[in-house]
Amino acid sequence: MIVHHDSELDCLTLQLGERFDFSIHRDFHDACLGSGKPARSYVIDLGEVTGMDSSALGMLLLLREHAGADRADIRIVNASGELRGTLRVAGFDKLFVLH
Amino acid sequence: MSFTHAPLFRSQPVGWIASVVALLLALAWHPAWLAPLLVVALTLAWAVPARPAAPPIAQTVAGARAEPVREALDDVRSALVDELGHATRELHQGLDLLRDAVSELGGGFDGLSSKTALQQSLLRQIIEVQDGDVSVQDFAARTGDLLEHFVGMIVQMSRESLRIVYRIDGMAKEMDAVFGLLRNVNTIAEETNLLALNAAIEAARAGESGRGFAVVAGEIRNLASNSNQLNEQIGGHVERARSAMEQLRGLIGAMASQDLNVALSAKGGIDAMTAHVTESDARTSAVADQAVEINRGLGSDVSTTIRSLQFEDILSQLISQTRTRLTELQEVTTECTRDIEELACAPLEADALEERAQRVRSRLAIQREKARLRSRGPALQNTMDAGEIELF
Repeated sequence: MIVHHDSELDCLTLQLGERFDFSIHRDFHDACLGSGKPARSYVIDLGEVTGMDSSALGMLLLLREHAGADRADIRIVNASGELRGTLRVAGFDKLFVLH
Repeated sequence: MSFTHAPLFRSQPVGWIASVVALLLALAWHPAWLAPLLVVALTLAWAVPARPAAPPIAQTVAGARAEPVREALDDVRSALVDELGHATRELHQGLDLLRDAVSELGGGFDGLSSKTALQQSLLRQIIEVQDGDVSVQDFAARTGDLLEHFVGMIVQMSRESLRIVYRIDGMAKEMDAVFGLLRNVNTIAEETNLLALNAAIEAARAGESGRGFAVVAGEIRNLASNSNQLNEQIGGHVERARSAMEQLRGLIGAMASQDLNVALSAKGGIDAMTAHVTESDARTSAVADQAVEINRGLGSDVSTTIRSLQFEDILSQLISQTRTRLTELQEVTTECTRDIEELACAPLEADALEERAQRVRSRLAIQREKARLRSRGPALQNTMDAGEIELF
């Protein structure tokens, strides 16, 4: 997982690896759920992700809570068709901006 | 000449007598006004009996051959009357057959009609059921909703599990801190032990005066050792607690990591099923509509056919009219042949002969008039749609 913070825009970009599941929960926590002020906006790049389980969705929900719930600006980009299908079944198309 | 004169004289006696009387009167009495009167009287006397002058010839000719003519006419009459009687009976039989056949056909078509109606009502029921409240589409939609709810629940559970895992991680950090502190405590104990050892050595060097101090140093060493043991026990407990937490973390992590592919493929299956059911619903209802249409057509065909069976009435009317004609023809034949027979054979007076001939003519005229009246008489339905009759 590659984390990049654009300090000018206060935008945190997470570029995830092949697997987006429980195995990276610690990294995810350290990257964006830790103590401290949340960023103004987040970009979650799923371009390389091939496997995703429910904990990934749980992490995204926690991030949304952390970033201010309804005020959160989180964009999920480069998701494959299958991943988009999963996100839609879970109703994430109403909670996040899917590109 | 004698052949023509003799009958002439015989047949016109009034004329001859009138002529003789006129001659005598003219000779005996001759005023001028008598002449026109005599001419008129003579003309009348000749003219009146002149008309029936023809028949006697036939009478004379026929008289000689009366018997064979009578026989021949009898034969003709009986043959005609028999033949007409047969024809009448055959017509009657035909009519009976026709009635039976038509009534059976009518029964058959009535049955067909009622069955068609039943079929139609069944089809309508099917269509109504299809349009009813609980459709397969609804079912699929509800299943889809349920699945989304289920996926939502799993995701919520994952979120909460992750929250717990993050809490456990926080607690693990606290435990690590406790371990660090315990290590410090251990160091202190070891240093205390070292200190006590040094104190014991110094007490031994002091000799008898340091004996008490040596006891204290021993106690301190014991305390340090006890503290060390306690430390180790605490460390063991904390270590066990840590490994238990690690286990818990694994369990909760497993709970958080649910495979969503099952739900996803189920969702795909439901979508495919919904599409399939929608398509098959549409097809079924189209086919049912078509079947209803065909059934309606069948019903109307059957009722047209039943209506067409009314041709029996028309045919019956026609046949009974024909039978009447035949019966009348029988009577006419009988009467006319009898009259002709008499005309031909009986030695009748000229007037009587004329009268018979007139009777035959008028009888035939009456018959013709009857036929004419009948042909344009009471409404005889003599047209039916050709297409409908083709059914038979």
